[in-house]
Amino acid sequence: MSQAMTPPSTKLTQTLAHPQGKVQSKFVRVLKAYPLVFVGGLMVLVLIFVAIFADKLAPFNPDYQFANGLAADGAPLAPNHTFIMGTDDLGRDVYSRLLYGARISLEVGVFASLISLFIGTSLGIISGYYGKWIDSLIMRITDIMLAFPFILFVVALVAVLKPSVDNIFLAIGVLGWASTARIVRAQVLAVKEFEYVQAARALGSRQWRILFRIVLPNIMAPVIVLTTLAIGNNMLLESTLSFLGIGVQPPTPSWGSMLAEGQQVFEYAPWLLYYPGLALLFSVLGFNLLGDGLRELFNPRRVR
Amino acid sequence: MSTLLEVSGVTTSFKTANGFLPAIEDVSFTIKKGETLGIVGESGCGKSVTSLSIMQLLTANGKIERGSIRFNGRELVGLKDNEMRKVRGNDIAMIFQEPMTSLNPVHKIGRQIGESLRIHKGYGKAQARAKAIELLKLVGIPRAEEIVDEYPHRLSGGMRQRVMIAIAMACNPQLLIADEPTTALDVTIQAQILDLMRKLKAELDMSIMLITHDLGVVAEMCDRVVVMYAGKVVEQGNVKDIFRNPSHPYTVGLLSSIPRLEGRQERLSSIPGNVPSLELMPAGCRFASRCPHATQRCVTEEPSLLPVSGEHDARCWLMDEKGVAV
Repeated sequence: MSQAMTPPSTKLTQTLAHPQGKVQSKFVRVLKAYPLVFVGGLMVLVLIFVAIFADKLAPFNPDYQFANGLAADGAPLAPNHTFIMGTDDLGRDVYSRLLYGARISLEVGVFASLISLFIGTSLGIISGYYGKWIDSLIMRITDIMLAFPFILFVVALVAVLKPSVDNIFLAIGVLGWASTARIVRAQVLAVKEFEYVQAARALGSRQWRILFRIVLPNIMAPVIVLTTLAIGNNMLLESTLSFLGIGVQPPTPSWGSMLAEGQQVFEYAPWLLYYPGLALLFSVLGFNLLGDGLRELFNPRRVR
Repeated sequence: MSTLLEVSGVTTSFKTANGFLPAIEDVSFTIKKGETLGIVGESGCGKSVTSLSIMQLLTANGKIERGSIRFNGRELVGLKDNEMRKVRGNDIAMIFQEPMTSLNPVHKIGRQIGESLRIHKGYGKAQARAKAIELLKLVGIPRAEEIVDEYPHRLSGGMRQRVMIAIAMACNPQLLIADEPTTALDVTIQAQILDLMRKLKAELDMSIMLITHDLGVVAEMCDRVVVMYAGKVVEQGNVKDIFRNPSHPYTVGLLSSIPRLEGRQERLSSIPGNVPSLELMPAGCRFASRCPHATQRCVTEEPSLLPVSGEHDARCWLMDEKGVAV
């Protein structure tokens, strides 16, 4: 085909595909085919926005105990004009605490997942690519990690490290890599048999070049999905730890510790459970929808 | 013509449950500058192991036990990996059977062609891309400027094999090892790819080692042929000699199992039986159990490569009793 032929033929295919002459952008096509990615993505974006601008969005200092924040009998105030989500049993603004709590949740969720991603991917690649005894060693350690009750493991490590935000994501991240390592290893085992890996060796590529430029990009899709889902899970885990009292320490606001505090007075102040609970639901749902949507998007078997 | 590659007495073994077993034994042949050598044989006869031994790309459980591989007079066996890496892709390039899986799906065509230039010649990004376009034009890909930025899944099998050839040609290698380059392609595309290889060989003055089981391809492309059976060279010589005077019963069998268009349609002849497995290699001639001319001597004693005429050798006792028509 001569080059002069190309533009009209491209135009022709587009016209045939869209009889009205409307050419859809790639963005719109993906949006239509994978709405979950966008619903989940939007929810996650809202969460990130809130976490970043918590100090601008919050009407009050989250730790300030308002003199007018408690009823005459010392009970928390129900949602009203000043405190739109009510106050807690110390007279603090629930709405402000909720916004600041998003920071902690997201920070722990993201950093813990990144640490797991890094450790799991490194070990998985080494395991899958080099095989032999190193593979057996890493996989047996992985089995051990998976056999332990995860929360107990994290609780023990946090107890040793002293509870703080940094130590929580460190503990979750350092202990949570096992499933990533397994999935990465399985992917590497599949990818390294492809002829393009052999071809890269035949070109004289170094070992690291093959690992990082040939193998790694080809296994990223499931890893990205897994990490997205892990962020949601790790946020939930942070709340669990804080709920149990070994997570973020007061007065730092965290959704888990808010739930723990609210639990004691929920009979007459149920809003103390509703809002942090809903915030947690929203965040985890957002990451799960995004993760599932990405899985669909990356699924090569799905017809596009 | 001077010798480019000299393979002599190479034995490559693989570790199995029953210890190290040789996949190829005592394989020797030479490739001269500007020559195309065909390596023929059925699946599992050691064609690919031979090429992987030359490139030293054997899997971890395989190793070259004996023999020497000299490239331009330089010994490759026992070369350190970082020295061998400079040979791969630069002096000796390789193309594979499956164009569909030989290209990395996540990188653009241009980047994959530029890869070896960046490894071996220290090209920059822009320089490598420009050279990639040039190479795509060389292998006859239309709209090279657009294709260079495409991903492999946008190309057909034939186009991908052209891209593979472009990748192999990038550093102007002296030897191209083509491992069944046309097996996965349909017949018209096969012819195009073979034409392209012939054209490039003449233009770039390189040698080709063509691994195939298709004797039609051999007749069309090669100057000389090595026939392998069960890990050994059983016959070698000029293409004309091999086709006109096949001297090993295995070669005769291979040639008679090609379907012919002319003449009466008869049942296609085949060679009965299977290649003996690595564990159960017979003491005598490896082809004896399938050979119509086998004698007691064939079963107990293994023949060496015996001269037929000039540079034509065959590993068969029949050569000893010259004049026996096979």
